[in-house]
Amino acid sequence: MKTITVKIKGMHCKSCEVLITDDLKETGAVSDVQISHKTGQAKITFDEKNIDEKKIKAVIKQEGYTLA
Amino acid sequence: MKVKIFVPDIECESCVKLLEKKLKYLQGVQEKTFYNDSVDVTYDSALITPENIVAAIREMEFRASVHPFERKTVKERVRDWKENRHKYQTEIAVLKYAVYLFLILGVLESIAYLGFFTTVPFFLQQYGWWLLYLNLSVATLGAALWHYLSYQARMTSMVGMMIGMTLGMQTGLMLGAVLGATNGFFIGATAGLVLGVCVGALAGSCCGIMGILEGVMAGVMGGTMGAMISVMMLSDHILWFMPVYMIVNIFVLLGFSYMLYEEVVEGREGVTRRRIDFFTFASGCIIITAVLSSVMIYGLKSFIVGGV
Repeated sequence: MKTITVKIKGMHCKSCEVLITDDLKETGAVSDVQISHKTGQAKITFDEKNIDEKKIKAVIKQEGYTLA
Repeated sequence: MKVKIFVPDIECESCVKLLEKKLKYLQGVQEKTFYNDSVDVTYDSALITPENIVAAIREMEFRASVHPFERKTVKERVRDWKENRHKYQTEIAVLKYAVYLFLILGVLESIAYLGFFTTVPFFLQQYGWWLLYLNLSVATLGAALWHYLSYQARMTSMVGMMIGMTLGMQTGLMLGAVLGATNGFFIGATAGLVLGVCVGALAGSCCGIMGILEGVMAGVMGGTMGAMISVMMLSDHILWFMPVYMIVNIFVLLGFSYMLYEEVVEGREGVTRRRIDFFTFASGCIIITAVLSSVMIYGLKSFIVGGV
């Protein structure tokens, strides 16, 4: 298990948090997401055997957010 | 079958995506079109009912209903006001307090005038109307602010921006105009700006930076604009203009309170009311009025209003 913290730009409200959390969980390899649209911070815990940081970032970008 | 489901909490693209996703997994939902605060759903009535769809949306902590949210027309609202007085206790209290405060301010100022200013030449001609307008402004602005402060609720950024903007702008416009007329542009704009910015930021702070900034900007604009209006109009029937100006501004504040009730209070869950305490409200407003009327009388005056 590995935990990373990323900064996400473009989150407006609670829905953005839920959306990103859902998307990450759907990959099946992310076990925990703590995210706040107020700070833009997301703490993501994942299984590095099944997914890597690059892929996680791609999932977030796919929804139209940018990473700082 | 087609049904319109009202979802007033849709705020941005993400909400739409989330809802879309949720509806996609509901069996029987065929087509969906999203609008600003609602979604049209075509469904197979053998598989799902509108109530199921509503329940699914509510699960995601969005308000949802097949009926429009209690956004009453003005006519319905007036009837509701007449029939269900108990719902509007806060509003009735605020209105009463505004009237009481206006009267108290008038009495206090009359006492001050009779005690200290009868010997000052042309005092009433110079300040009479403006003190009246100052009282009127403070009473109505205070009431609007208090009305807003007496509710604690989750508000959307959009409503927060409206709150910051209206209160910041109106504070600036009304008080800036009054002080601009008695002291000239410098004092009028400064006082209007400072008060407008403070009130705007305080009011907008319910919803984070968007509300605060909107309030601050509205305060800057209203404060300087209010003073500008009265200074530019000093030589041109300002005393005819003022009643119209004040009435329009008071209507804006009434509209604001109406908006607040519709958007924040009615039909919302988790709204808490704080008891309004007349003493704090009145003493706050009296202090503000005392400060502003001292500024009016003893403050710097520009040459345009007969100063040096």
